[in-house]
Amino acid sequence: MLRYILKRLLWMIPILVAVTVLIFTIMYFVPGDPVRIMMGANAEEAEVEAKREALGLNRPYYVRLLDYLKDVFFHFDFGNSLVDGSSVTKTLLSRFPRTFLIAVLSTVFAACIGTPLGITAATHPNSLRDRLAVFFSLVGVSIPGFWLALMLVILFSLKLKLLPSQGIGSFAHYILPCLSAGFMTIALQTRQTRSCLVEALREDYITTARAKGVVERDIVYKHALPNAAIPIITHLCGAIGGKMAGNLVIENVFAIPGIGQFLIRSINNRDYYGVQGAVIFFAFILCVMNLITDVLYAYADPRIKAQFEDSSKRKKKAEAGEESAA
Amino acid sequence: MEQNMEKKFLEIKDLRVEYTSEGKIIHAVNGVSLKLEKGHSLGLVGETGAGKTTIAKSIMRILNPVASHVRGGEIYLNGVDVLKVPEAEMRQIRSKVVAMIFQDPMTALNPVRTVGDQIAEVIKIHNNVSVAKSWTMAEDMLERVGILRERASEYPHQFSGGMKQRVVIAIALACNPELLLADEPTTALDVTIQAQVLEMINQLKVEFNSSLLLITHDLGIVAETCDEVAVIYAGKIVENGPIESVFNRPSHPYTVGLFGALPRLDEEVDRLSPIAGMPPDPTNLPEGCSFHPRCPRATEQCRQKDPQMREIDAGHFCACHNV
Amino acid sequence: MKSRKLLSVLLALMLVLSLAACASGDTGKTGEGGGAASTGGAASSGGTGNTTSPATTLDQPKQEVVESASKDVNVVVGLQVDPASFAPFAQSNTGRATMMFELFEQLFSYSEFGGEFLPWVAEGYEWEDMTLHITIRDNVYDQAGNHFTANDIAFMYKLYGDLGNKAALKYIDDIKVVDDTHVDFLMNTQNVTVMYSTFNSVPCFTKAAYEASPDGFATTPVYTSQYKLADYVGGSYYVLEKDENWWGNALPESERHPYTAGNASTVRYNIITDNSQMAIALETGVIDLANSVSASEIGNFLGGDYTTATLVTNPSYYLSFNASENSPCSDARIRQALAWSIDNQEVVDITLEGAGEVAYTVGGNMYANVTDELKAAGAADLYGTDIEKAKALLAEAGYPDGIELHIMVNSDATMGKAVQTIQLQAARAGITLKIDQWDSALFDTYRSDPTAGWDVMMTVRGNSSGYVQAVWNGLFTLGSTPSGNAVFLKDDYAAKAAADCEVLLTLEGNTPENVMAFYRQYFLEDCYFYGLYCTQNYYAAQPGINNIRISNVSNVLPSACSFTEDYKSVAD
Repeated sequence: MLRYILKRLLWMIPILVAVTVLIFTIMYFVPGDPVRIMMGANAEEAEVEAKREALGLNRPYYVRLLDYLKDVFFHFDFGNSLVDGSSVTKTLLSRFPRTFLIAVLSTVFAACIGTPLGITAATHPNSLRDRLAVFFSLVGVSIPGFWLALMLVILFSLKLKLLPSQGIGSFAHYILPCLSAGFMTIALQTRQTRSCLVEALREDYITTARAKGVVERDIVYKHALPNAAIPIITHLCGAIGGKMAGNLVIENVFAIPGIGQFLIRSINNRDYYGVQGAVIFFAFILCVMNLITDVLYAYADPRIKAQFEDSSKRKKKAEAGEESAA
Repeated sequence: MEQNMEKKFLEIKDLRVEYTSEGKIIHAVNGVSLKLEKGHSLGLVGETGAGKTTIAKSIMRILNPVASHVRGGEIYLNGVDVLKVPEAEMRQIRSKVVAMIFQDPMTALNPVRTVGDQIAEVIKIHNNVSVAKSWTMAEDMLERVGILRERASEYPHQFSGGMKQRVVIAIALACNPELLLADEPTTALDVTIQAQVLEMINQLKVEFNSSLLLITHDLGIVAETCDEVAVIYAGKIVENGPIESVFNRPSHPYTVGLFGALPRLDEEVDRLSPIAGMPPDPTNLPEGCSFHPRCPRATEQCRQKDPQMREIDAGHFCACHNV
Repeated sequence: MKSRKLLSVLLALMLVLSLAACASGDTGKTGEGGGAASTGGAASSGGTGNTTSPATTLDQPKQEVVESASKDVNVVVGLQVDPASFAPFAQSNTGRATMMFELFEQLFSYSEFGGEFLPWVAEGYEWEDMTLHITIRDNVYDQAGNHFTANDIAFMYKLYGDLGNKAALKYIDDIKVVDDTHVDFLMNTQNVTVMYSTFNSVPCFTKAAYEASPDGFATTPVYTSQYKLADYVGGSYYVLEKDENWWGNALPESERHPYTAGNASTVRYNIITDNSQMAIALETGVIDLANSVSASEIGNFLGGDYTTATLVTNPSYYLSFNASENSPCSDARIRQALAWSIDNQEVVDITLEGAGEVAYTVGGNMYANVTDELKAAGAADLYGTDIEKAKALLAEAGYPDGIELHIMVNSDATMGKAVQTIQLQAARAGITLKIDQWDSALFDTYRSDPTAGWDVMMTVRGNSSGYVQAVWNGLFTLGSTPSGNAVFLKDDYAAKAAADCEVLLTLEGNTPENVMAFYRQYFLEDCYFYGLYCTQNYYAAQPGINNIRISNVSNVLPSACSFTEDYKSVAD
């Protein structure tokens, strides 16, 4: 298992290099001039040109690319933002914890609320519970996040005065953003859990378990659910990964200075270093999330764990086989 | 006939089971009556879809609760109608009094739990032992079915088909059930393994003194393993009786056809002789005798009236108007 | 069964049809609101709520300093744009504009739009031919304790120029330091805007402090002002604290700049980007004062406990044509045809729900030289609405059956709405406008390119010098774009226009008659640009603030507001 993880970590390097080259090239070709934006529409052409020269943006493509690769991979320096001159690395690191908190919390909400709903729907098929859960699921994926966010703010901040309406500071500040960000995930989790569990409950080994005299509750939680875990893990880990990329709408409505805001600002201003830094950062985070997902798979399903350990074990078995044959 | 009632270990009376699928009703079992004595083995023979597995699952009450309905009849196990006991009591009965060996070993085991765990689970449910003890007992069971006890902590995917079936048998027999329902236990295995598994079942049956209901479509297995045989067609028993009697004198046209369809080694035949026609649509069974569209002996009476079981020999019954 | 199948087919059909209908709309909207706004820009409102125009029921801000009953209070302000940087010459946006008078101090500054140009860090000035003698106070210190001298002024301006603002310094030939408190600016022009353009955008700071800063004041500013930056969380908030050692405390009241009332001991700006959230923040007591309340939300604060204010902001939204040979708009008749078909008041009513004013030129009605006569002349001419005339002009230009033009706008929601309204109006005259909405960065690239495929664009421009010809100057100067002036002309005629505009800026040429003549020629006859409207800003505060002081760049000055005796901040 350890070897597998190590291998994956090593694989991350070429992936990140590829992402860097890709995003650099894309930004290179994107129309729109960050220097002109920086200097304003009224600045003269000569000045804009001088500034571009000073920033090193006139050098040929491959020179800039190699320089950037060197900075990122040897010095872990994403450069300075073209918007305000601050270090992109520092900005990303300071904004990330907030985005991370929202991503994790909203997914935790999804798991805690969505999974039980899905389970109860799957174990009582076609009942009122089931239909309500499915309906709720449908509503959840159809409601736009920003609308929900504002509705929640009006209800909980304005009318009931229970929770703060925006900003960061205490834990309470994160409740509404996480709920709005996680609502769709909750709905999807309900649906996912329900369908996976229904599938699992149809399998033959469930009949075997029933034939053993296992109580219904254990059938669901000890026999069916572990088998339904793979798609559920996929969904939840994918949700965290996606949300780490920053949920711009939520950050905008609740005035949370996270990565999403930063990325949009950088894109609007064609801040090459900001965009590139953020994208590479995401790629890194997503790689890590994928690795965690795969490791979780291994623990959920021993067949997958066997696959991961296969290569090293096969070699050992072959050697053992040779020894015993000799 | 009180005496007779007591002797019967398993008695099924007029069982009717339906499935609903896409709005249609499938008549799976239409008035089946069977008897089995303690220590005996009964072979239940029929085509796919005849209702054999349904009968077995009904005895254990592990039919799919959503799609299936028991419409009538009684199943007496040791004098108790298991169709009417509360669920909690039924759970006690399952695997302790009656256990089932399933048809497809590839899917019958839970892929994410070790085999030892799955055997230990059934032991723990029915015996008041510690977790450690149940694990040891599980290892013992594995040995009994011819698997190394060290392999108890391995997962199902690490075993071959034959060995998986042995694990299933181990699970079924772990708590010493009085009745063993074997649902086509060798169908999914190749011939060499078949022999092994059958022998094991026989051996264990003797060792544990269990009764056996062996469901199969293979007449050869029935001949080897069973004392009695019942032939089922379209959810009804058409003929049953002791092995020698039925095999020597197959009476129902369907039974005759089954035997006739078997290729013989001592004859040179160009073509096999199957039974003419197709099995009936279970949602739309023929009127009268279900077999009459395919029956060479069919008469007007067959089209209108469903034949009842008649004793044609000692203990040998047949349901046909024209024996 | 059959009915279920039929139903599902029907639903699928409806889905496909509605998708097809959506797809065949106009070319891509690019979502989020615009990037850097112009100085003193309005917050973009997109609301569809109130239908009654709130404009007439609000207070006009008092421009004089009102005595505050409470001093040394805490104020929490809602700000809609993150300043992002506290560096002296960073890219301007609405957030930075709020800092202009609280964190920055200039040598001279306007007290209000079109008002007097008052000395602040400087003590006075004197013209001697083309030399501007500046005297600064001798007791000015920055927040780190460095003494501010004339040497620092030379440093400030050199830095300003080096960072790419040479255009703004074009009137200055050289700066000579005479002694610690005297500096000479050698100018090459003396006109109505020279003071404004020289001093307005340059805050005072010392060379020592700037060189000691690791990031050029971006997050660690050290200026000479009354308030210093105590805390900043990018994207979330920043806090200003009163500096007890401020040099200005030694000045007598009468000599202090009106913006330096200093009534607050701390000012916290919370960055709230969403309009509804801003209103909710004020209602739920998260902020004391809102720097911008959208037109759809202001209704919640009228006629009740809250203090409100309104201001028509000076940047005006206008249409700018592509008069190069790449576009049919090189023909004045086509430009005029479009102008005749537009009904400005209707645009204001629909787009702004009445929260704004018609602009008869580039530059709002509050600029000097936008006289009633000028407005009347415009209204009688192109700024009226005459569809028949528009059609006649098109026919004369060779398009009797109408013409298709491309109109370009950035991703701002309100401007998008305005352009759609104009599209409908132009259609009445047979002009089919195809709307191209780009994100700000792309828009900025295309606006200086005559071959980018647009014929007319909508944009915004303003200038807090107070003179409308200063705004026009930016349009007609030949260095405006690489291809010439703002409509891509650089022939003799364009050169003459630029020269004429320069004349208006001179002290002698600055007369309403000259301005009028220029207007008739280049705005009415040539119709190079067509003014649309100015927007109205709304401000709201808790009742404890009884006067909202607004700077001449249309942002609130929390420390110069007046607070009642029993004022209690939400932070307390």
